[in-house]
Amino acid sequence: MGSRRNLSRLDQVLRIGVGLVLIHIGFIDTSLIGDTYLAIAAGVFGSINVVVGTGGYCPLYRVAGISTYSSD
Amino acid sequence: MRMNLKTRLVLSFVAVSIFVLIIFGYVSYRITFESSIEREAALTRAFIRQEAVLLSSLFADDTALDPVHSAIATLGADRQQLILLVDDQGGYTVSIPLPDYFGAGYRQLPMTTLVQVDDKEGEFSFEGDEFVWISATIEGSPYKLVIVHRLQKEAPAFMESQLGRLLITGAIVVWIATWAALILTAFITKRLDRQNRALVHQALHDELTDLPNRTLLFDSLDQVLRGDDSEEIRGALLVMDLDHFKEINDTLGHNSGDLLLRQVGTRIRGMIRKTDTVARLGGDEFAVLLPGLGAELGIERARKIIEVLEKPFDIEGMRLDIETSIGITLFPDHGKDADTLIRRADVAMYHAKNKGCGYFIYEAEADPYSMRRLALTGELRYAIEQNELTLHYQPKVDLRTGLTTGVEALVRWNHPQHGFIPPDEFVPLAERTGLIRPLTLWVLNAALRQNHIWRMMGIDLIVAVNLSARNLQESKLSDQIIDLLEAWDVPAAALMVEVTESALMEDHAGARQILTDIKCVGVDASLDDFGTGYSSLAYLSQLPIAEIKIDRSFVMDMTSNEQNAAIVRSTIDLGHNLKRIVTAEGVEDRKTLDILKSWGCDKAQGYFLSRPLPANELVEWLRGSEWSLGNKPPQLLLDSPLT
Repeated sequence: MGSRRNLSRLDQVLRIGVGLVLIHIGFIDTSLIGDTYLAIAAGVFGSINVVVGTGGYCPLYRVAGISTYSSD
Repeated sequence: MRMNLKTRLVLSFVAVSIFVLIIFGYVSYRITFESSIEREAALTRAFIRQEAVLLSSLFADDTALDPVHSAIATLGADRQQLILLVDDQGGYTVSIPLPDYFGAGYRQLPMTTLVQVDDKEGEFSFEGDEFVWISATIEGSPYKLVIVHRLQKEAPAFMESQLGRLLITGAIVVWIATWAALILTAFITKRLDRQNRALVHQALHDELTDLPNRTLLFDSLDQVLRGDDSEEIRGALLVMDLDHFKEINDTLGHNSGDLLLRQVGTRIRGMIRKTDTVARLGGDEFAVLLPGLGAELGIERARKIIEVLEKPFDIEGMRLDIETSIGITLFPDHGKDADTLIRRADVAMYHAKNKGCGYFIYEAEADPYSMRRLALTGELRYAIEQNELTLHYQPKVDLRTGLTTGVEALVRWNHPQHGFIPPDEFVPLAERTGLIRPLTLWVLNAALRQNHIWRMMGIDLIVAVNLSARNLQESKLSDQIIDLLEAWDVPAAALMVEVTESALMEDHAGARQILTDIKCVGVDASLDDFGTGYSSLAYLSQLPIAEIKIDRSFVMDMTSNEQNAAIVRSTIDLGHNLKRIVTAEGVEDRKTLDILKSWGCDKAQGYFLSRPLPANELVEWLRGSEWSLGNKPPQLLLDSPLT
C-alpha cells in the first residue's frame, strides 16, 4: 500500500476493533441481534472494516479527499 | 479555513443523522413497547376470564366456603393475582394468603367498587400499577368471585432483542450517514475550492491581461521586502507606461487599446524570470518586480523591455509603434515599503516621460514629493496666511497705440531661508496639495486691492490673474470673483483671468462653464501659452475667450527660427479670424516687436518692454517709459501698502 496509505494508526485500531465486535455479533453470537439478515449485514460490515483497517487504505477516504495518515 | 469548513460539514451531517436516528429509535421503541403491553393486557384479560369461568364452575352448587378457600389455595399463589370471594352481603374475604407484592396497601384497592359489580370486568390504576379485574357469579352459591390481576410493567423479554436490532441498525445507519457526509462534503468543498480559487484569482489579477494586479504586486513586493533574514533583500521595481496610449485609445477605439495592452502584457511576460512579477497597475501602467537585481541589471532589463516593446504591434491588421517610459526604483535604497517604492517608481517614470529618455532611476532631487517639497508645502500654507507672498506685475502694451493697457500679476515667494522660490516650483505643489484654492484667492485679492489703489491714483489698468486647472473645477470661483470685485470696488472689465491651454483640456465642460460664468460677470478670459497643448481649435473657438497669448517659446526666437515665425504669424491671423485679441509673450528685442507690429499683433509682453515689477516700481516705470499709459499721467503716489 505504501504511498496509498491514508489511515492513521489510531484509525486502523478503531476500525479493526469495531470490525471484530461486529463480526462477533453478526456471525458468532447471533442471539444479540436475533435477526438473520441484520446479523449478516453487521458481520459483512465488520469484515470490511477489519480488511480496510489492516490494509491501512480506505477507498472512501480517497474519494472524499481525506487522510488521517499524515496527522498520525 | 478550508479544512474547518469540511470538518464542520461532516460533523453537522453526522450530528443530524444521529439526532434523527435517536428520535426514530425512541419512537419506534415506544410504539413496539406500548403495543406489546397492550397485547399482554388483552392476553391477561382472556386468561383471567377463563380462570373465572373455570373457578366458578368448580365451585358451583358448593355452599361451603372452606372447600372454596382450600381449592383456591391449591391453585397456588400467583404473585400477580388477588382472588376475592364476595358474599351476597357485600363482605369479602381475600381468598388466598396475601401476597407481599400488593403490600399492606391492598386494602386501599377500590374493593367496594369491585365487590358491588356483577359479571363485569375492567381495569384501574393503583399506585403506578395497572390492574385488570373480572367478577363472576358462582352458580348455586351466594358467593361471587373477583379476580384482580396486576399487569406486567417491565418490558417483556422479547423487547430485549428488539432493542438489540434497533441498536445495530442504528449503528449501521450512523456509519452510512457518516460516509455519505464525508463524500458529500468532499464534493461540496471541492466545488467551493474551485470557486474560491477563481475568486481569489479574479481579485488578484487584471481581467484584461490576466496579469497580477496592483494588490498582488503589493503583496509580492511586501513578501520580497520582508524576505528571509539570512539573505540581503535587494531588487528593482520598474513601473512603465505607454506613451500616448490615450491617443491610441481615442483614435482607434478602446477595443484596439485593449488588444494592445494584452500584447504588451504578453511581451513583457515573455522576457522575465520565474521569480519576477509583471503586474498591470491600471490603465496603460505596468510594473515589473525584479527581486535580487541591482541598478545595472535593473537598467539592462528596462532597456530590454523598451526594446521588446519598440517592435511594431499588429492590432487588427494595423501596425502600431509605441514608446515606453520606465521608472526604476531600487530597494532597499529608494524605499523599504511597497507603497514608497511604487510611488517613487511612478515619479521616476514621469521624469523619464517628460525627458523622453526611456527610463529613469529614481532620484530624490527630481521627486516633487521629496522632503524639501513636503516642507515647502507646509510653509506655503503659512506664507499664504501670513502674506509672505508678493505680486509682481508685467506690463502688456498695445502695439497699435504703443500704450500700456494692462499688467499680468505674477506671484512671488521670498522664503525666509531658501530665498526666492520660483512659481514653477511652488505652484505645482499648491496644485497637488489643494493649496491652489487659497493661493488663487490670495492672488485675486491682492491684485484687485492693487488695482483699487492704482485707480485711486488715476492709473487705469487691466490686471490679469492666472488660474490653474484646479481652479476651473470649482463652481464657486465666479461668485468669489464677484465678491472680491465688489469689496475692492473695481469694475469687472479691469480684471482678466488667464488660463493655460492644458488647463482647459483637463475638464472641458467644467472649464467652459466657469469661463462662461466669469464672462457673464464681465471678466474677460485670456488663453495662455497658446500653441503648446493639443487643444482642438473647434473647441477653443467655442470658448468665451477674449484674448489669445502666443507662447513665449515661439516668440523668443522667431527672428532666427522661420518655423516659429510662421507659427506666430499664422496664430495672429487665426486669432483675428476668430475675433480674438492676440498678445505675444516673450518679446525680448525691438526687432521682434517691430515684426509683430507689422503682422498686426495686438499686444505684446516681454523683457524688452519690462520685466515683472513690484507695484511701486511699475508706477515709476509707467511714468518714465515710452510705453506709458494712454490716459493722464499718474499722480504723485503715496506709498502703496503692498510694496
